[in-house]
Amino acid sequence: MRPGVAAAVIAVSLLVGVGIVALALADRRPVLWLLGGLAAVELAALAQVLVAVVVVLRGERPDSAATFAGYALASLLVPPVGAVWALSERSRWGTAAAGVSCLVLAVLTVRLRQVWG
Amino acid sequence: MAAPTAGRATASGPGRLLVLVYGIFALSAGARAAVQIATRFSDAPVAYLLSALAAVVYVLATVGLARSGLRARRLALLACTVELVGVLTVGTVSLLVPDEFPDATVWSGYGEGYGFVPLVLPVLGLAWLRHTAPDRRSREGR
Repeated sequence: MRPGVAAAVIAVSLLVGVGIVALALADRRPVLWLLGGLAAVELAALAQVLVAVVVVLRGERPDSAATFAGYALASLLVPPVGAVWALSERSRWGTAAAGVSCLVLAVLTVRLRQVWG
Repeated sequence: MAAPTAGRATASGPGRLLVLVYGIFALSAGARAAVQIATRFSDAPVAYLLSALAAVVYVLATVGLARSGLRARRLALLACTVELVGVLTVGTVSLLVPDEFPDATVWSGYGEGYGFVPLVLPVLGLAWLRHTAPDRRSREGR
């Protein structure tokens, strides 16, 4: 894992997650902004996993490979699956759920760094 | 529309957020239990079997809350109750007999490894089920 990459992913997911939760609190639902933010979060997750794959191919290994792989897979699945589930409810609660799925990526990224060792 | 006896849908409104969090716990508890059991089961069989039980309970609660109807509501009620009893029991036992829990489960220390969300979640789940429950008066027709 590259600490810089993880920090960038955490920054993007926190920024977008907090922004979306703020929109939910204000009871606003700008769909294009939501989709753009969620896409940025998913791209960040994808970039992070690609970097991890490259690092592993170069010979470095996480302390627990199976756990790391599990978190990596979860980090790719949570933003899109969470977003679809969240945005299919047209209310502030749906919007809030989309924000929370971004915040979960930040938590998963922290765990990814810990599991790498 | 759901039948009047089924109460309000548990997956809409705040329920949308609740089901999301339950789904994430189902995923993370399931993955954690799978890795623990596959790679080092003999280290702490009790803890790892409890991890697996917790994962099953989270999956059932997620399904029960996400679906509508009376059967789904009963499933969610059962799962949230088992979850609350589980987190309180495992939390207490893990503090009293830490030797049995050399590796943490989701419910160890009342879920302290997960920001105590495992302790709060079943309470919210039960409160939400109660809030959306079918109105007894209308069902009995006075």
